[in-house]
Amino acid sequence: MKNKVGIIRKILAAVIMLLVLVFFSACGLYYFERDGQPDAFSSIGDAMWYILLTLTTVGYGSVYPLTFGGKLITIFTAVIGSLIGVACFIGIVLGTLKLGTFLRKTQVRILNR
Amino acid sequence: MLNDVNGGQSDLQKKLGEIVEGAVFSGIIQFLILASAVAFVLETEPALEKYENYFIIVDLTFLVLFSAEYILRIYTAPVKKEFIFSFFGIVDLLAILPSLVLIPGFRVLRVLRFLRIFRIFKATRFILAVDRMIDALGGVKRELLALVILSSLLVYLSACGIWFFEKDAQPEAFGSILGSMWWAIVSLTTIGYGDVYPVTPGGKIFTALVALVGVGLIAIPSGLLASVLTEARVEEELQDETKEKEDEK
Repeated sequence: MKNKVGIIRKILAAVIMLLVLVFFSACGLYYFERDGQPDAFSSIGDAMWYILLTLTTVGYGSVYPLTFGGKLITIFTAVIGSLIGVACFIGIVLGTLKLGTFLRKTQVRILNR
Repeated sequence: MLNDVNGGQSDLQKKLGEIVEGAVFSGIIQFLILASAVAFVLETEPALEKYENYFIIVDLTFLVLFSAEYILRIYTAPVKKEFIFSFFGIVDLLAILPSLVLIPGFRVLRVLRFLRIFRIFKATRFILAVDRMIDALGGVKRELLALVILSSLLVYLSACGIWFFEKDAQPEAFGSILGSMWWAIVSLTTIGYGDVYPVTPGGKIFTALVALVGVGLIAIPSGLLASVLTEARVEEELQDETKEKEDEK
């Protein structure tokens, strides 16, 4: 039971971290891109849509940055977000799924020897 | 010819069997598989179309060599029937059948030459870890089945959801749930071709959810396989250790 609470906490922490990242990069993109592409980046919400597509690696290609600043933020977000953030998220999910039982099994086996 | 001392095999069979299992023979076959795969790819290059006749000669050479290998393997197999119907026996046969249509009488069947791609499966014989992989996959059969069911469920739910949000705004792309399934699969696998995407706020928020679930969905099988493969390896090592201990006693 204690373990379960810990997992939920970890997932929550990862989600919050990702949300903060999404928020800040969306603000940055909105700042850089709104002049060049007023249709695609008309609000921070629109920029968030773009960031989410990037972070989840879906990348429809419907909106993409044109300015140097926008591209720089995208690179930063994509690397930090999808590699570290999403990987954390995945790791936590997987950790709860299978690896835990595997490690316990091996431990028991080593102790029994 | 039959000799019970050698398990029903003649001296010649035994000798040839040793050659077939040997490193030199394996190396030659591996090279031939690679060469045939490269030739198959180059054949489709428009710039090389004028050399078509040479490609046919090369292919006939492969036909002869692979046939020889197939016959050798049958000849040296301890139980011939077992080899012919084994996985690699069938793959070896499939590797030579498509090229047979090059022989004049069979010209009509030239389309079948495309099946030469199956030659590449011959290479799996030389991948040593394949056994471990198959064992590991067998160990997570249930989990994999659960994943297949779960993904189908998610595709279904995503398609229904996006159809609800987008049917009025984009009747062409999201007019039916069946049509929306294309979008659902492209998004859930995080491929994202971008040929269809949501435009309504509700659809966008729903897509964010679907995409996040998609990342997790892709990760689960990879993690599952990774952990199972480690498990298989640790188990092998543990077995080796216990064996060593018993030997010491």
